[in-house]
Amino acid sequence: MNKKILIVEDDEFLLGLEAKKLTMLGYVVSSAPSAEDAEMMLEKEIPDLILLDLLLPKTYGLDFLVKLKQNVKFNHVPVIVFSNVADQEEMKKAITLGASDYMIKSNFTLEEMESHIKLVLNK
Amino acid sequence: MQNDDLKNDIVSITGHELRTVMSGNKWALKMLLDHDLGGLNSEQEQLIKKSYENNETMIDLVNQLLTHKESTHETSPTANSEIIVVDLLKEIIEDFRSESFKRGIEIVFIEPDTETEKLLKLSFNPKLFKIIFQNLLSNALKYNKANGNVFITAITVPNGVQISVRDTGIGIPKDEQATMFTKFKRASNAQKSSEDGSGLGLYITSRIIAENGGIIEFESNEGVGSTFTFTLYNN
Repeated sequence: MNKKILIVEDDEFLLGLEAKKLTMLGYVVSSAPSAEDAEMMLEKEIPDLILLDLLLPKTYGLDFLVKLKQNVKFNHVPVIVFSNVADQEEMKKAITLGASDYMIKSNFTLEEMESHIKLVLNK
Repeated sequence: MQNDDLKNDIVSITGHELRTVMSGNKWALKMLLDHDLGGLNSEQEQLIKKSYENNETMIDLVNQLLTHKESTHETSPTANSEIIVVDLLKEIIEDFRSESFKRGIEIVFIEPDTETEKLLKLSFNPKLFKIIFQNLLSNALKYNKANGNVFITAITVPNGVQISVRDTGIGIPKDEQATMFTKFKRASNAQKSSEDGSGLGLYITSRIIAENGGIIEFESNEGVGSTFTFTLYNN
């Protein structure tokens, strides 16, 4: 079975590239441009992993992460924070809040990002 | 100071924006290079490869500038804590495992052999300690040779610790050694290599060490390798 990834990302250009690469690598990709949209999508279908940007239009990514981890319906879904916020404090906070990984976008190719997804899914 | 806070926020936000643009460039160019969108002729491939490399240089530059911002912001003594030196070194080395594997280079940590030295503590800012060691280890990997080695040692000195990072890499030409710690300096053979670099890593490293009362030195032979040794004292 192909794994389902939900990408929460508001930058269309980045989203397009992430989605294209992951689809090519055999994942079933869905996307949401905001935390609010992601919440609606989660009600319909629960993915195998969520790739979460932080600077989103309304709700901040980490606030959304808290909400996810508090909800018994979704708290088993691993979340990888994929953001260009490179602040050490935010990184620590994300991991404490239950993120499986924190990756700074510009420091990784999409192949490297996917190898982290694989690692998290195989845990 | 409020002005400093404002300046720091502006730098952080600008850094985020730059990284976002560069991430898009990096991924799009990489997809083209990997022929994800179809084949390229050799001229197209060359142009895209050059653009990709330039973009990597910019990412490196932004990372170095933001590290520098963080390090100048974090020099207050209150940020100091007790570092268990051997443990922290091991942790950082672990972070570099996949990178060293990818490059076919072995990192060998020659641990101190006495129990007292294994528990060696240093009162220092851990963030700054990390920046120093990461920069040196990263250089030792980048400017090494295929199947090369990196050897790391840690010993106690009165009131401090001395750590050395030795590589079996390209070395630094003799006539350029005196200026290696100056801003934007990259050795001529490093510039010729395929590695990207901003010329800020050693400058920042040496600044942090000097500002905290430590010492950094190196010995290098072109074509044979370099050994960087730094000494930090309890702050």
